[in-house]
Amino acid sequence: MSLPNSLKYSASNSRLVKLSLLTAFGIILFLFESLIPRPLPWLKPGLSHIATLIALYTMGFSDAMAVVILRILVGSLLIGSLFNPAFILSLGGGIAATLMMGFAHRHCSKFLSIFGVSILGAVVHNMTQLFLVEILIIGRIEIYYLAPVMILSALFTGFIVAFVSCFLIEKTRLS
Amino acid sequence: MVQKKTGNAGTEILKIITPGDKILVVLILIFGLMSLFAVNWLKKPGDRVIIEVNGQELQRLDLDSSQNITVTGPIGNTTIKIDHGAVRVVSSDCPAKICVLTGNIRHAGEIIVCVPNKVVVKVAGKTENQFDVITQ
Repeated sequence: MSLPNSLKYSASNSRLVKLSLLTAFGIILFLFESLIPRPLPWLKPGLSHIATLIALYTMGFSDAMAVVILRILVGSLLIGSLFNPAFILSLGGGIAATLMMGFAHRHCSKFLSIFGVSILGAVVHNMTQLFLVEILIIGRIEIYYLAPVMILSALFTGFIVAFVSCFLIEKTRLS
Repeated sequence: MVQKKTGNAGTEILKIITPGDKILVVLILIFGLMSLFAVNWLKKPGDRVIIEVNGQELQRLDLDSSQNITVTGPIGNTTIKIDHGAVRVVSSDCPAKICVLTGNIRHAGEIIVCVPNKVVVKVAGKTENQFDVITQ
């Protein structure tokens, strides 16, 4: 029995293609988001988590984590914030949010749809960033005065991100 | 499988929201609103305004006064308005105008930063220690 190599590698090839496309998609959203004007300078909608959510729901946790880390590395390189404090905030927030979403997706999918998972991720993303700002940059607990704004805006952005992800998963029929 | 076409895609997607999602949203909403009240309760009104340019303290003013101050930083002028218990940056020569968009601050510990022009406006409270360092 000799399967041709092309067949043997096909699964991993499709995975590689999906990973690359989702990472590129995430990078584009990351760049787009850094360019659009925002009402408050530190309040980003987190659009690049659309790519994370699609990866999580169509490919699994470890691929979602790969998409996040690659997106932040390449995206930061492109906007010129590689290894500066903003990069550490993005990376910390992104990894924490992905861990949370991966956990919720695996263990709570009986109760939570993609909307709940995304909102949990957004809240964790924002709170991790506040924590990192406190310990790394400002060192003052007054930064937690922003926590209510961050939590309430996470509800809104998490919902939007889940809505778009769901729409894209359905339309593109990735799986 | 033939799918019946009903409504637009948006309302279809919203149908996947589970009761658990709704409970989660309500819990987070309650938590967020409670923390909003807690934060407002914890905030102490400010007492003094400290203006720093280029990392050096320039002026210490009474927050309850009413005056305009213009300071000069590396790229131009920044005008700060103190108006009976609130302080804001009214105009600045910096490109992004984040300092102007920050708006009014009035509580102890709040801060406006203009990164390009290296201007920092802080509000300090009554109860806060007036000294940076105490040596013995």
